Amino acid sequence: MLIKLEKVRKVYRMGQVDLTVLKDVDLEIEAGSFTTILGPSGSGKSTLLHIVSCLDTPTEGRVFLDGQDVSELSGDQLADIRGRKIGFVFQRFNLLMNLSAIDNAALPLVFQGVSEAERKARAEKILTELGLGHRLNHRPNEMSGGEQQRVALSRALINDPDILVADEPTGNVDTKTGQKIMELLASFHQQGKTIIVVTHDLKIAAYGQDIVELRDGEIIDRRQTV
Amino acid sequence: MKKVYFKMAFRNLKGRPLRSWLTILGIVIGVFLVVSLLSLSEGLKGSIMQELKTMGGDIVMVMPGDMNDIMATFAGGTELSRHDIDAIRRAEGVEMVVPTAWAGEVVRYKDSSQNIFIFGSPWETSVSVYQENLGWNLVEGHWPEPNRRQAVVGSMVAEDLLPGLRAGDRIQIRGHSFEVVGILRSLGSKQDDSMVALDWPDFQSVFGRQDGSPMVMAKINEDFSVARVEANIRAELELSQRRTRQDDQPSFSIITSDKATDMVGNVMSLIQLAVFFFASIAILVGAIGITNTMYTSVYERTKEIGILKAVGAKRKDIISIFLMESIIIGFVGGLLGVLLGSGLAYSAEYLVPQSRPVFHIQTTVTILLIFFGMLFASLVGGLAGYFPARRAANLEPVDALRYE
Ligand SMILES: Nc1ncnc2c1ncn2[C@@H]1O[C@H](COP(=O)(O)OP(=O)(O)O)[C@@H](O)[C@H]1O
Ligand SMILES: [Mg+2]
Repeated sequence: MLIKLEKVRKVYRMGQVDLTVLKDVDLEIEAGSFTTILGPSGSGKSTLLHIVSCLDTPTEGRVFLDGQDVSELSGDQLADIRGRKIGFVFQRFNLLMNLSAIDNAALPLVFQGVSEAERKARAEKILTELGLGHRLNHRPNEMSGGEQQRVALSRALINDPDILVADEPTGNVDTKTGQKIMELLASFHQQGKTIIVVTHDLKIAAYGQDIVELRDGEIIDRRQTV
Repeated sequence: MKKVYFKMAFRNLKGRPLRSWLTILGIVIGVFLVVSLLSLSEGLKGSIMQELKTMGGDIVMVMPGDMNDIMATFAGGTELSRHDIDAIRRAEGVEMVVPTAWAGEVVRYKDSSQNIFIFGSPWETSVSVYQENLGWNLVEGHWPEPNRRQAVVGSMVAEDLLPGLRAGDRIQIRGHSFEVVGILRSLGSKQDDSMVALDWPDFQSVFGRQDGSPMVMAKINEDFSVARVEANIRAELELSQRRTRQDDQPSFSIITSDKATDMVGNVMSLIQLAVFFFASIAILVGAIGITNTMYTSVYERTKEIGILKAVGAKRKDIISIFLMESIIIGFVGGLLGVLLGSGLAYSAEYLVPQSRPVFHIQTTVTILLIFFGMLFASLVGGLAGYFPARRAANLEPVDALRYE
């Protein structure tokens, strides 16, 4: 058992009104699985993913990662876990516009205290593996959407994380590029990583072996194909 | 502090050049004011102190007017009259009296002419006082004799102002001709080194003056204490002024070397304090500019902060990146401010004498001041950036990531 959520509730206070975005969600994610979280916009997918990936903490309930209760850790402790164990891919790529591809990809290593030479070497290796060897010193605005997403993937992989989370990774690229990205994620899964992908697209969700369907903050269906 | 934070901060500053430079300008102005004004006032203090040091302990100066109004005394046209000078001479313990006067005037030598500081005193008494008490020496020629239209010039006059001038040559002032009999060794102060000294009657006739003097030097007999002779002079002068001017309020100042040093030191310290205070306000305004820019920057880069946190940046990492940015602003501002400030201070040294030959400022731009200016500006940058940096570090990663 890699990740375990127990009665996780997330409430946003909007002025006088409480908005319950996650309603007592129980969820277990196995190490080495490829899980997709499917649901319409506003159903709480991103919120769930953030809690699963230690970016956010629940209002109530517990979250365990590798058996450790992470629901009440400090911001810096969570940052440390993210930096060591989790790689992030976002819908809008979220690259730093004034850094080159190689510096963007190497960014997580900066906060792990890795030397500059090693950062560069590792970033160059991963970018080259993803077919961006000719783009190392380009800024994001000099690259296509697919290329930017591959830089973002490189950044997510650079610290060799156990878990790779992706929030609508195909949302900002065309269908063909989207398929390529999903195939890449599948290949990382083959290499033994735990993959968690959030999507509103059934076709994308179908890449997963474990499909969690979310609606209005509740899990309404779960299909495990393996 | 990691090198990569510096790189990131530097890139961010470069990414919005106009705003960065305007913020830097705020600090430049503040540091420029501190460095230039402090150097100038330090230089002024140094020049005056040096002037005072050449005046030995057994010489007192007597000047018209109240000492509390010393600037008016230097600037104003008041003089001690011939009666006043006689009264000083009468005071017990006064060994010798040297009335002096000065003015700026064009001096001609062969084809060259220069506006030069002219100093007058009776050779009869002054030559010995200059040699024994003020440390004058000749590098060329001989000491002048009274009533023979002989002049002595400072070392820079012969080297710089009237090149080629040698002992034995003649110079012209307002159509009067004088023989330069001696050239002085440098006295260590630009003002003294660039003067032409005349005999008292010659000075009077060149400038058409009466026998009055704006400053009288009195040499004290070594058997008397300075304080006692000061009291004697005061008594004699009060008596004389009451009698000759029917004046109830005698007005003159007796300045001993100790008193003068104290007074100038105090006045200059006050001036420097005021200068520092006002320049600090300029720096404060610059600091507020940095804080403002950094808050704007944190606000604009909320999303970026979310990304950094998502990939593992901790509070101290975020604080370092933003602090680095404001420290760079402070440092660059400090560097430019120091350069401009010391530039102005140095050029003042060369600009001032041309317009007013009477007064030289030897500016002192000390390494300490430069170092302090840059360190201080960097520190100001760091302090000004602290609260914005803390706000950045306290952002919740999810909130920052959702920010558009
Ligand atoms: N910080 C927040 N404050 C208030 N409401 C929020 C906040 N974040 C998300 N929400 C709300 O929670 C609901 C679920 O959001 P989200 O998890 O992003 O859904 P999804 O990713 O499925 O579109 C939405 O209605 C959204 O408006
Ligand atoms: Mg979402």
